[in-house]
Amino acid sequence: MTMYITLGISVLMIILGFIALLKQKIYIDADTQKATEIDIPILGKMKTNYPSLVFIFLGVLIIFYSIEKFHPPPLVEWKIEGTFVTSDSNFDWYNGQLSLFPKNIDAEVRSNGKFVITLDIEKGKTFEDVVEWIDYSHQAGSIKIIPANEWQAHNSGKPNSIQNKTSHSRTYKNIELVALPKPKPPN
Amino acid sequence: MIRKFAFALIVIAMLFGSTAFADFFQLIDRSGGSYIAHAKVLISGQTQTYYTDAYGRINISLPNGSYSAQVTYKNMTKPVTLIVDGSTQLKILAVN
Repeated sequence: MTMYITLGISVLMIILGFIALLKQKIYIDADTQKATEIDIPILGKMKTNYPSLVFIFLGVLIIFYSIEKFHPPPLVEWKIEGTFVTSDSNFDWYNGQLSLFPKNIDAEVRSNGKFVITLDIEKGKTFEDVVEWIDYSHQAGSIKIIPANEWQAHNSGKPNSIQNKTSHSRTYKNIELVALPKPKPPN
Repeated sequence: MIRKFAFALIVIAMLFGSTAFADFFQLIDRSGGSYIAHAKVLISGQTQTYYTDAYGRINISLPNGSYSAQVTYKNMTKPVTLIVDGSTQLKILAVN
């Protein structure tokens, strides 16, 4: 809705600018016998027929701006997968909570510890650009993945958790659950 | 035999003496009575950034001592003091 209002205003500015151009009168300064100049803040001094051109120019500029602003780049589907592991073969992975920040995505861990996350990311950006962390929290422990750190380590040949990568997917190696004492209730 | 045993004991003592064990903390919002989940914890003088889990827990492997830290959650940053003493018990930290 906002986009249409902005576009409407822009078109109106262009039309009014054209009308002003067609109906323009050039005022000659009696003393100098030159076209009168007006002083507009920011834009500076202009001849009296220039404001109508500025009107048209601004209208076109707003159209381009609103198209850019209201039509974000297309989204690309990314697939992130990996497996959480622990020494307890009967570990109940369902009983934990998998979350990503800042993307609010419903994702879960399967009974074997495997997780698959699909999310849409703006074209041109990577998973590491948009997701600050992945967290799996269970009463028995937790796992935290910082994608940017893993990616940086992967690219610099340092130990990291990335097993495979494509232009829009990441596969993490087996990641061990860090055992933690059972949480206490907050109250 | 006794000398070997004594040597082994010394080696074990040296190993344990130089290893920093993880201390476990649980951060709780004193005002809201809730876990401080997924908060960013920056410890003064440390380059690593820590994050709490969904229960507000965090494990920190540092030599024993008192560390001042900044906890960032819900667009707020609050100071806390972490006392690392090598114990394996969960230490509750109520954040104001």
